[in-house]
Amino acid sequence: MSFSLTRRSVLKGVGVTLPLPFLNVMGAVKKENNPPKRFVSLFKPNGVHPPTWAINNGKENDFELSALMKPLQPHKSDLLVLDNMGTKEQAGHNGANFLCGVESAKAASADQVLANHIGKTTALKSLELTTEGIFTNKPDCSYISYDSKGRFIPRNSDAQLVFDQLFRNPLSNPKRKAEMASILDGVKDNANSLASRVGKEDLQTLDEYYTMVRETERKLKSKSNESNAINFDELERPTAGGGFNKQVTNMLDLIALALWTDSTRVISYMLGNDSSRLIFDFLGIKEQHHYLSHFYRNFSINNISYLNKINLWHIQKFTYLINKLKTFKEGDGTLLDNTVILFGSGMGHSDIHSGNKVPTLMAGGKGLIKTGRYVNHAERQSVSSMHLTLLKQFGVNIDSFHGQTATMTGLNDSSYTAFVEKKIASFIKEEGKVLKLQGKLRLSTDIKTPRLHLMDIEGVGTVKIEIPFKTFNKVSLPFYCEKNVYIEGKGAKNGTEWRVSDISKITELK
Amino acid sequence: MKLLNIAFLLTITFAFTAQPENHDNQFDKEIRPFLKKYCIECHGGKKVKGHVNFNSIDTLGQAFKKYEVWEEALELMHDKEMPPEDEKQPTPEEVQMVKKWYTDTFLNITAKPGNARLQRMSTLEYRNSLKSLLGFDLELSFTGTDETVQESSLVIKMMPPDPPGESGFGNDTVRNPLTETLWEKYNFIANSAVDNLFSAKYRQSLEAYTGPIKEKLSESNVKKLISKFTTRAFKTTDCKDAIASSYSRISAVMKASGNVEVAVKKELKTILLSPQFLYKGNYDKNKKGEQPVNGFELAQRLSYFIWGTMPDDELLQLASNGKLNSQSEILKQTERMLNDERSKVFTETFAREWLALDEIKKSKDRYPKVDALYKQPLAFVDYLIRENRPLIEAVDSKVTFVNNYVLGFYDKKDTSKVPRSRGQKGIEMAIQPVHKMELTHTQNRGGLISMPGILGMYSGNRRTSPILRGIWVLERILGDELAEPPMDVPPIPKPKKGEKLTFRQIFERHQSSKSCSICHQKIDPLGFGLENFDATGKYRQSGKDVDSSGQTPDGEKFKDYTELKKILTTKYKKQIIHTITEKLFSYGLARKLEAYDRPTVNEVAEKLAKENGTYQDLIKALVTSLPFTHTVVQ
Repeated sequence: MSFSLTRRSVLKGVGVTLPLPFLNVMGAVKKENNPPKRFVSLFKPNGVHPPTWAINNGKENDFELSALMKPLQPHKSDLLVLDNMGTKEQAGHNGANFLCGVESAKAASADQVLANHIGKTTALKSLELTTEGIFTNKPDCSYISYDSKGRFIPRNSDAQLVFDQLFRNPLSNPKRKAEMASILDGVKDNANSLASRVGKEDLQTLDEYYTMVRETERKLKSKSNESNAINFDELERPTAGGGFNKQVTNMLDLIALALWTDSTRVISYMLGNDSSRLIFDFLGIKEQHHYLSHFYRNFSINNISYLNKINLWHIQKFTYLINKLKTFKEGDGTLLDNTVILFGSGMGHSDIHSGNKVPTLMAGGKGLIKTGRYVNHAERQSVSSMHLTLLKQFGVNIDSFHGQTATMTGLNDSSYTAFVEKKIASFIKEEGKVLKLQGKLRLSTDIKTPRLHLMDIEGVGTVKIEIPFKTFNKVSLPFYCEKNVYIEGKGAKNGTEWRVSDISKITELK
Repeated sequence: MKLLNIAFLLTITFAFTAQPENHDNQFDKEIRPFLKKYCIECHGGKKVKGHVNFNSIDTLGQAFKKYEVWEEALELMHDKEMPPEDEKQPTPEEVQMVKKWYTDTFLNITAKPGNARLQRMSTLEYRNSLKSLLGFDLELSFTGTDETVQESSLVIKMMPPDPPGESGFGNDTVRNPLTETLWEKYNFIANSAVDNLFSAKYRQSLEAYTGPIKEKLSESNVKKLISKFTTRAFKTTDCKDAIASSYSRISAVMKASGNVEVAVKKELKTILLSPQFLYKGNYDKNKKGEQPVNGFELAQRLSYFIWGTMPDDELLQLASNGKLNSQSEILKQTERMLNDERSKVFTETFAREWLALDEIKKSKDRYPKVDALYKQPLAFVDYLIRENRPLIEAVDSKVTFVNNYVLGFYDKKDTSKVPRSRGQKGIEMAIQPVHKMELTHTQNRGGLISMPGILGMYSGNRRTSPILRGIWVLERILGDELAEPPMDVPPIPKPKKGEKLTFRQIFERHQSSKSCSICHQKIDPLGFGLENFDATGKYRQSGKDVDSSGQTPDGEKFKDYTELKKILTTKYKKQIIHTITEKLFSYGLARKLEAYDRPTVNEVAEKLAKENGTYQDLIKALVTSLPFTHTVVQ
């Protein structure tokens, strides 16, 4: 491993001006023939408003990014957009949905499985990071990383602490080793002076102590040949405070730095708890994110625009991280090329917690995933299968992941069955008091009417479906959006316009 | 257990005091053969039942260390529970011989203080000591919202929690040695602590040591800092040599015009990693034998007991002047320390560990309610100690502590005066403080046992757990030490076809096997006495489905909780006070009690029981007791 530290900023080359809060090693180029592969998972809490998120009529290599994905436009070729992810009608606020694909983890999450495979040689096997405290009403909202027994892995939210653990740890920081060695000399003096005063039994206690000191000295010596390693002392420590947005940005910078210095290869970061209670006051928002995410029951035009502002902010943070990783040159490419970033949520429609069409994006990872594509499977895909496949791409030798043994096609290939819209006969008719209709169900794309569902029927026009929340929730309506369905319910014709006011039955037509 | 001691003392007509060393001959010639004949087949031969292995006790010295094993064995033999009925039985003469040996060896002995030794600070003590030393807590920064909790202490977040020691308390770290993991954390935290002390944010804390700093550290700044920091961190003024060598290393850097701040920081890190900081204890091996502890050790014992942190300047000063080692000064300091808010560390840690309150936190109920249930006994024990209540009020009191979430357990006439907190927006519940409430109208409450958090903490899904409740009362309140359940638990006989068993009858099958009934005949009938409280701790009348009758370990019958409570506060009062005394001594001495502590503990407990003593009476007795004020240097 060799590093060349230059003070020249490579940012100019990228054509973006970014603030450099603490990263003064910008522009350092690490020459390495076979750079390690890394994995970052970025968790976005509380689902989305589906029409703002969805890509319309996209083809694998010919698609427009959706309204929410717009900030990612410059990185479209580094992006893999996965659609039709998730097989459950409804998914709860369970952190395990994201990296396990199940409501309740019984085994390790994908990041931890991977860390055991690629993280053994780095200073830290993995990093688990977050922005928010533990949600006490339901603690599993607060964790996406689980150990091999399905237990929560504690997360860190303090960028300074993470920085210190990575770069100010006297035992791992090469430049601090001399200081450490001399501290140990002083420590030994004091221990000797104590040893001359105490009795036999305590000499055993002190012996434990001496063992540690000697062990540390041995470690300090054994690593002394790393003299050409990067000078960690030149890395500037992130500042505390500065508001939430700043703290998240600091953490993203730190993630990039941790990966680039190869201090760790696996990082999970929660932009909020699943069911996040954060208040985004710096965006001019006064309500909690979770409250706003229930945009059906708590609808107001302000509420939903606030919600979309928050969702856009999440995407901006993802974009920021992509940008950041691109600024680090590594080998012939960038750090992004050697890192898979998984961005996603635990649910789709955020009011009903729908478990399909779960937002899932990947970026980077040259050779591991094939980017620049929109992969929309014909069938709903299991999140666990996706992780199983990704883990195999990383070279992990496993056959099943959280009960799934089937892999998922499409990550690094085009040999999947793509979704093709099937034309079916559409109709609407009233039989007795029952209204029966058939066609493709969709959610209104107008953010002013997020409760309105629509169905286009040949020869009739667009039927409006506005049902009470209770029914909406009971039949999991968002699960059927963008699908051909048969519906029975109540409704009436007003002039030429049909309106469905309740649903008693809904089935998907395949 | 205590009743048994008295029974022995009555049966033995002559008592002679002797030291265990004299009995080696008797142990080898009489006791070992007795064990071989009657006990070892099940306890040390092919089998090791109940984790009791007499084969591992070869000499009297080893026997002496395990005095609780003998205590249990003698009690079982006395009650004719052991050896089991179907085994060979010892003759009355043999039993008498063993009883006499036990009495001479373990009961009629002279009180003796514990051996002097170094003890590593527990995580909590380490955190508090760092805070005292630095003048600020090492905190993590995080984004908080009303509904979330976050550990804010760097130390608590990084360090593994202390497992309780043999005493049952976390400050007993003897069995929890320094490990590589701990050592790495100490290194990291020392680094972090010193960097923070020199940051702009904590300038004031630094200047508290150095005096005003102009531009950069002056020679006088450095001298003051090193001297005061070392003295406080090492918890003694007897550290001139360490100060001198620290200072000489710094002045070498000064002479060479090196970076003084770097050199000073290095010295402070050295101090924070030195055993004098990380360990408690202060003695000199050159003076052997039983002796009063030196002033610095006494200062440490007092401050770690009452404040969970290092001695303050006043204590160190008194120790340095040799003025601390007098009964009047110890009592004066104890009173000062109890009146200081830092003593909450003691009341809360003691309550949490004595009563196993962490179990409450395992509840799946909503956290703010769990928090209220958890805080109730903590606040209650704090009140008992702070307001100097009689010891027995632990099980019978007219005061409790509540908030919004637990009012339902109490009579409306009592709860009407409790301040209500404002309602929360939406569905969220926020954590609330607890308030003192007089129990004037509420029946069947008052005291620790009837607190809903404690009653509910072992419950299964919608059912009570009489066994775990019984064990809790036996161990925590009555001070009984139960053996581990045997490894070869026979299956409980299945009900016959058509036989319908009540909840009570199912449990009674526990006693159908001899090896189970030894403990369960004590546990279950006591646990059933709490059947008047449902799984969540709510009171329910005895009736068709609720049978709260049972009997105490010594066979006194009661028909419901009210009668049980009456027996506990009268007949068992002495035993309960004895238990509290033992627990507080263990906590205060930060170690398991030994046979030679027993005379002291018994004497204190008996006096307190006779005089209906209070918590502060007990604390005063502890801090002036032989084991607290004396030590043996080997």
